[in-house]
Amino acid sequence: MRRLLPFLIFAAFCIGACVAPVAPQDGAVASGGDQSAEVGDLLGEILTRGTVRISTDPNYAPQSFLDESGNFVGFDVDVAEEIARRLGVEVEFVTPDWDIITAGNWGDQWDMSVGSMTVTTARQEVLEFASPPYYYTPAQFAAVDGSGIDTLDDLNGAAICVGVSTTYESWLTGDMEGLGLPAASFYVDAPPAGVSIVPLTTDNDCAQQIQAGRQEFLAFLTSNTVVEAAIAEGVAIHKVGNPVFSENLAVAFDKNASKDIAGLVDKVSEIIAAMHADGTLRNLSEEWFGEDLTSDPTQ
Amino acid sequence: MTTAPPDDRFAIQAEQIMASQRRDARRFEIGVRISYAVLLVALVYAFSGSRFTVAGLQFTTISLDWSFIRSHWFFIFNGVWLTILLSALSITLATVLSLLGALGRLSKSAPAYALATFYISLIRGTPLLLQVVFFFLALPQLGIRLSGLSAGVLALGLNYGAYMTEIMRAGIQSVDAGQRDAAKSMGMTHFQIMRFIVLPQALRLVIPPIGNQFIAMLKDTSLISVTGFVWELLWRAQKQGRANFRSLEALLIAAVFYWIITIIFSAVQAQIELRLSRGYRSAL
Repeated sequence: MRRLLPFLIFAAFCIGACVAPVAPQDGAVASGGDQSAEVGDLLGEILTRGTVRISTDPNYAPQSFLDESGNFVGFDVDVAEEIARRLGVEVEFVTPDWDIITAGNWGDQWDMSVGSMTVTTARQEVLEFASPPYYYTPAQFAAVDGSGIDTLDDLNGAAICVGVSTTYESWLTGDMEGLGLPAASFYVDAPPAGVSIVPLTTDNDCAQQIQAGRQEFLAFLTSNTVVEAAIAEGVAIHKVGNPVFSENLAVAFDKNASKDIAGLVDKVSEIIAAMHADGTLRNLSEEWFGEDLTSDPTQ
Repeated sequence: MTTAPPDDRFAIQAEQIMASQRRDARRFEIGVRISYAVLLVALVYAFSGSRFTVAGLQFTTISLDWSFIRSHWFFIFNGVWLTILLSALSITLATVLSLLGALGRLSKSAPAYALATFYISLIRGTPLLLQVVFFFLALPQLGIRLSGLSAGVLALGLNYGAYMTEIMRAGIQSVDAGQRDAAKSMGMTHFQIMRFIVLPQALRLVIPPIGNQFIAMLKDTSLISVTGFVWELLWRAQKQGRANFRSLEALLIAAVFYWIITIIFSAVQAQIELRLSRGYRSAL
């Protein structure tokens, strides 16, 4: 057995080796690539690469979803493609789950998010947002038909469903600081009192649980666009009261990207401003939502 | 000639008994097939959306949106290839790891034994779903940027490798120690003994259980969908289901394809097992 020993030890350490030595190699390759391309910042890298990698979460119609043959379609998708076109590059969509996108630390796996993300103080700690936002949506309560919940007051003490890590969850838990929206964005003074919150993977699951006949909750809070999409699909729900607050939805970037993002943020902000000015965004909004959601309701 | 010789009589009797046994076997097989058909029809009927009344009791079956199924099944079906590819790559990695793990577990070297045991304990002591997410979220911090596919294969391979180590160890230990002694006396090195004497015989025993692991893995690849980067069967079903408010239909489409590929690979597995056991079967 003694002559087998070195082989065995080598073999056993191979298990560890599968993980360990990859790191320095990978780093070396990455930095080598930098020098040859002579680009220090992310904008330069995107232009050299000729493609921009944009994350989108195709769980949300009409913002972002897949058609029958698996093509990306929706308002966010059109906006992303237009941004890429004005950058002069191709767009490549990647599809990480929503809470992976909002958590930041993307590890350079994609360049930016065009995913209807609300600008909040908490997210600004890890993400950079393009300014201005590209559209604004009202947050809307909806309740099951026949549940007896018809006004905002009826929501006190109710069980309410929200998507996990969404602004709706922050608002319901009273985390106004983390939400960090300007005072003018709020249409009501406070969230309903004594509610129990049911957080699901995405907002859309709230409507689907109701559709399936589950009764853990009778109301949910999400974007007005999601409520309308669910009603259009024949889910037996109705809107409760008027919108409770308004959200600014903007293109997001990872503050912890290994490349400098400042140039890219400026460039994309410029493009968004131009898309507001020339009516591109208004047209897309009317096409997908049937109404213009691109002007700031707080102004 | 009123009576046949005793030998012939026994032969005829034996023939009759065997014929009746064959008849029973055939009847059983036909019965099984009919039952399968009845069960399958009942399963399909359970999703027909019809209502009926039996003895005054109202029954309802599950109703599905067939137009959604017709228009979306093909997109979801295309995830099958990735599911099979993920399983094949992961089982390859797992086989290599489990062989190394088994050698470590059988080793007289303390570090090798400890390393193999540590690896098995760590991997078996944590959930697979957690491992998948871990590889996806933790490695980029070290500058290791694996694609969703590689991260998934790494997680599945490491996980199954740990479980399969015991299969490998049993296979290696099943080869009689006397054979190693004999090989040694012929002057073979330890590597040669492993390569030419032990492993070929161990392989016959470990391939069927590895096939089982592969079939189990076909379903566990669905866990990789949580990262969102790998468009395998379940990911496609979930996205199409959510965006269209048709999750039940979409998940059922995925379920049907998981079931079909499992049936296909189980049949392949049975064939391989049959081939490998050739020469070890009894004469009849």
